[in-house]
Amino acid sequence: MTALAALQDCLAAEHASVYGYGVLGGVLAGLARGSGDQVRADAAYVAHRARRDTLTTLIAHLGTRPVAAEPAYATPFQVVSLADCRRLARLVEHRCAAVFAFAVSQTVEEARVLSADALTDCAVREVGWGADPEPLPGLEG
Amino acid sequence: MGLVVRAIADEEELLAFCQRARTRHRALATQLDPLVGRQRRHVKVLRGALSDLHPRPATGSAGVPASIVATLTSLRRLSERNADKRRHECLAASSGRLARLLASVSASHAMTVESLASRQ
Repeated sequence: MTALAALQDCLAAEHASVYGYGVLGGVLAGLARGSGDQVRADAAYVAHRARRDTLTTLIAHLGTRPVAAEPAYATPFQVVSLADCRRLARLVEHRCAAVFAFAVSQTVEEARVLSADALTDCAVREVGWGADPEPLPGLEG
Repeated sequence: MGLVVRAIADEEELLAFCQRARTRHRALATQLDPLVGRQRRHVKVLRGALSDLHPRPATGSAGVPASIVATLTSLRRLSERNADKRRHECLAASSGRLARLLASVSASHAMTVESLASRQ
């Protein structure tokens, strides 16, 4: 796989993450408006959108058309409760961390910085959603 | 190779500190046992990146403070230091595979920092 393909995978993961946080953000707005969970979800949504936009710019700068978002994504389970929201958020971050970890191995310089920092951000947010710290985030599980 | 040797030394230092803190503050066992486990993995995988490196005893010498709060603060600082150093080494690594390993270890330390901060 090339660096560009790895970055496209990261962008696809960010599209899915933005969608996922949109779903759970909507549920939280109904169940726990103003709660710590909603604040955390809003911050994560903004962070994933920002990373998506950075990746879009970077890929376009490399002369390739950035991968587009799907019209919709299937969530792996129904999201109706606070516990569902936290579980989905952990899953979103866990999957995103794995994609960025792989991108670290395929990239250099600016793109590697972006990938490594994104891996850390996803891993830290996962803890914020209740996950236990892992020895090798993005590489296992 | 020097980059990985230095990384191993840092990770061994943090492992040794965790083990001494565990001995001195039994009340921290619940928090420290998983951290010791993660540190052992970090040392092991980094040693695995160097097939010709012979095992050597941990060299860490930082004392464990008498107070639990000060011990947790020291753990947090050491974890922050290792997160930062592994990140920089990741960016300098010539092998993509090693870069990924170092980035993951750095992220693991960041998770530890977040976890410690949420409990303090």
